[in-house]
Amino acid sequence: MMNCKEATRAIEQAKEHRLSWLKRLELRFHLLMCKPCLRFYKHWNDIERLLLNPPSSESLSEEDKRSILIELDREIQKS
Amino acid sequence: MLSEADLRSWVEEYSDPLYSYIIKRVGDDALAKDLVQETFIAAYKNRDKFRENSNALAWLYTIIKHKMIDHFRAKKRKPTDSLDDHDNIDAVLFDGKGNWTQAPSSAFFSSDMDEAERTEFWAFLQLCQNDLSEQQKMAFVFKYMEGWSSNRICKELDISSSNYWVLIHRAKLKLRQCLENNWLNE
Repeated sequence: MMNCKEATRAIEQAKEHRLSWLKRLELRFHLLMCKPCLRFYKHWNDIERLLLNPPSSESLSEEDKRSILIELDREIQKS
Repeated sequence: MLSEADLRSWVEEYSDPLYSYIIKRVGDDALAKDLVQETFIAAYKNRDKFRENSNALAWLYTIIKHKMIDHFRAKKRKPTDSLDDHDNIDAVLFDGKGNWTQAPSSAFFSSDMDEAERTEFWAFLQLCQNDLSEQQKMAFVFKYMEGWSSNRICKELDISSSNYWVLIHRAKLKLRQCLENNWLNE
């Protein structure tokens, strides 16, 4: 019988079809019986969906951009 | 060929999207800024390879992605080291029989969020990524942000398949736990 530690690991392997049919069956059975593991499985499906849609909020300060330009100029002078 | 003036205007135009892309992956602000800077310098050095009329930002993304791969490869421990030996997340979350000691809560992560909530989620994610070892972060970033298969990750980053499964499992356990503690239960 698969325990929770093994089941959480098998979830990832199942997604990449890395489990034998027997292990897949064991995982399915475990998820039917075990609420915490089912929650783990669902949480990760949610997280994966969120990861597909990142906001583009971060930006550099004017000072950061200036220092990139300075380094770039230094490189240009070298050549 | 790409002129120096073009490159200067690219810094103005494209440094924000490049920074936004890389900070989510490497987490560390100073490192992210260095990688953006190195990207423009590499673009200058390879300016003869840029074809006019092609997409400048796409080209810069290709460069910064390679920089990120180099960064993670350099951080990788020697293959003879057994990895992640000191990580005790398994012992924290599971008992000796492999049963949960801290079971996931019944709260859920809604995927239907507005821009402000998504920004908040990403801020917590970035915070939680700091709990990961560099190798776990590498497995997580390439799997879930770059969408690589486990095969490709093992091949390009030169890690064994069994290593990979340990890394990604621990990364997922830690990230989910951290997000639950800090974001769901806030």
